[in-house]
Amino acid sequence: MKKITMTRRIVQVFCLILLVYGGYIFKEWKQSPETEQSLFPALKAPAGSISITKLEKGSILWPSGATPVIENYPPSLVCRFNPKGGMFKACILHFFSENLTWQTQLKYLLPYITLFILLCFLLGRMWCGWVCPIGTTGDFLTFLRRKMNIPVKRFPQNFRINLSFTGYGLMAIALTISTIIGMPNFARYQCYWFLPYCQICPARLICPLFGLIKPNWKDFSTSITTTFTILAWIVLGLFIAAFYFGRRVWCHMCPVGLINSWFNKGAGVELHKKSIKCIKCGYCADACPMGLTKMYEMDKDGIYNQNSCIMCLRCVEVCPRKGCLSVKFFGKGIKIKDFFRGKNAKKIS
Amino acid sequence: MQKKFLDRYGRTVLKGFTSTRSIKSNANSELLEYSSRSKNSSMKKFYQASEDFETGKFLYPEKPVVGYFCSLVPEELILACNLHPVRLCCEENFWTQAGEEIIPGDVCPVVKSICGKFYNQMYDRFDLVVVPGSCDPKTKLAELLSPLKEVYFLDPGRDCEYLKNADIWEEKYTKFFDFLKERFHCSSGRKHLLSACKKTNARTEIFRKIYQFRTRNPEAINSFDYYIMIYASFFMDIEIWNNLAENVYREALETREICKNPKILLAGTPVIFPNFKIIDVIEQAGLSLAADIQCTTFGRFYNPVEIDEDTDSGIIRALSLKDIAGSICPCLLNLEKLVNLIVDAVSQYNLDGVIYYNLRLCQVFDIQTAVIRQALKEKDIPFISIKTDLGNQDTGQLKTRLEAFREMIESHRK
Repeated sequence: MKKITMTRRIVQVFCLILLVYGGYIFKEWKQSPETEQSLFPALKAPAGSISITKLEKGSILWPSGATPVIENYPPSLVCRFNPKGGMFKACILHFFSENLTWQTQLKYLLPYITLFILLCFLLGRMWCGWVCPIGTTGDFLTFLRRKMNIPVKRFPQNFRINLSFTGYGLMAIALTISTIIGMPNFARYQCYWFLPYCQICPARLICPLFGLIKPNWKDFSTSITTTFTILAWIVLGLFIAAFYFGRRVWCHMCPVGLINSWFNKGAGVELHKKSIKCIKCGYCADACPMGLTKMYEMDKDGIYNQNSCIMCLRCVEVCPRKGCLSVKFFGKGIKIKDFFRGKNAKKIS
Repeated sequence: MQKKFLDRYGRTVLKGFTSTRSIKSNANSELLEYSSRSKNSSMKKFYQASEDFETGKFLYPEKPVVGYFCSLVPEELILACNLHPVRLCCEENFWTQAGEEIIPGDVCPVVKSICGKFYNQMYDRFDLVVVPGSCDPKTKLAELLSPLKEVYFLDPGRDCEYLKNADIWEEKYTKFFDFLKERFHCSSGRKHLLSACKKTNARTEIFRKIYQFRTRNPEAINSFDYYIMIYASFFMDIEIWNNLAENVYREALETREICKNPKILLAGTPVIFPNFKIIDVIEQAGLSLAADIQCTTFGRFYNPVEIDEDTDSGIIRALSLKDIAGSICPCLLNLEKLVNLIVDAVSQYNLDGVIYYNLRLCQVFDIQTAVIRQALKEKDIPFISIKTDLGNQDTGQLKTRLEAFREMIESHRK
């Protein structure tokens, strides 16, 4: 395994442990494990909100009663369904859905949004490729497939574009429902429709497993919860299939990733191409887990950041021509010497 | 059907053909001459191996031997089946004349010399010959050889655009791999493929070191040594070659000679032993051959196999990308890439000029000369195109032309 992938795997595992189990460590450090107080100013649901009363009853939305250490919403997917002791509160889609329902004033939201945008501009979608625990889980599924010697399924370009439209569609529906049930007239639906995307998100079923807690597999009490349960199963099946047979196909439709992708062009991490060095060998396009081809097709020099890119830097790594593809941070070169696995590589370059 | 037809008529051709085997080629005396010029003592083993191969003494490991042509045939697949791959590309005047009895007329001299060798039972111990459909003469060569040997025809197509063709290449290589497995009764899988790729990647690593060392100090490993090393890689066991090449590189590192001659880049037709006329003339004209972009050297060795998916099909796909998409074969649609490579190498290694070597009757190299000339003219890089054949008649004239080119480079430097 080569340097960048090795680093990436280590970072991924570290982030998985931090985001999923970090709460346990930091709670001890706070010396008062019982307190519900967070390190960050918390957003609170309005008093007597139906969504909260419903949650306390123990619905499919609240299996473990997780309390976050830092009440914040980083750009990678972190989940409220992490076992007790999650590090951060939730993902950004959760943040929007929740606060649209609660009708929180904008001034309370601004610090969170500002922080989110700052983090996004710093690393772009690197959050997806390097941090996201669900992505790491999926990469593990991909690893299993490779070990079982099953060839990767390469999806056509159109299919992948349509996947991102599906993601935007789901996001729009989720936010619309959240807004509608926030209105006083429709408040009684909150007990069923609160956090609609979360109810079908595969992370809801996967994240509790990290803490060896049984996720809320089924709720057949009413027709609405039954629908959501079955939808969640279908989406989980799609998720596993997408990661098992393809590589990061799922990430084309993940709404959190889609929100991140708006900041990808112009992010601090820049991918540069020097086209005169390119020999069109196709290594980069072949290795891209998202199935992107812009780095291969581009005929001019410059930045090739794209919306769907998860910045795994695999293209930079596999490029056989030194100096053709490179990664820079705010235009400043990151010194990664000759990627080639020579012991004397330093001497040569 | 085709096989029967060829057997019948190919044998008829053979009947009227007299063997010239009793006359010896002068390849060995040339080898002696080149080895005496070498300053690198580790090179001796390469010269020895080449001599053994020329006289047919070379002892292969106890494996079936598979011959192949071109960089478009994946060596790793042959290695993975525990076979010994031997690249049979040959440019020798002696065998060209022998081959003329079978294929008279204005035909590619490489194909003539290969035919000459085959029809004189030089390659009798080969179990299989793999011929790619890279160019027209090679395609017909597959038919000419099939009465003599079992031939596998591997046609990768002429378009090296990754997006359109990657699946086709993968399919074709997989078929080839399946054929090898069935023909030689072996059950090779991922493990064997990975170890074969590891070997070739180690070779790439050593080659890159030597290549980049020569761009700075071309005299330490002179061009004869360099091309003999390349020639030895055609038939030597890959691990032995790696070790020997590593020794050569280490010894060269210790010698510090400063190159005063203008450094030039040689592009175009591959230089294969014993056709060293062009590099002989370059040396006589006071130029240093510091880098080259040819299919036997750069095209074959420079790219490592990048295995992304370590499944069977993933490895075969990676091989196809290395061999076809990254190819610099003029038969494929990759002129832009070749021009970029030349321009980039000249600026990266501070070279003074480009010699485009063109073997007479190889049309594809000839056709693209005009475009390369124009592209390099725009970049203000001295360029000369040399068209010659395998004979030695025009050596003096070539020398005069290259001397004039050196003077042009020296005036260009100022």
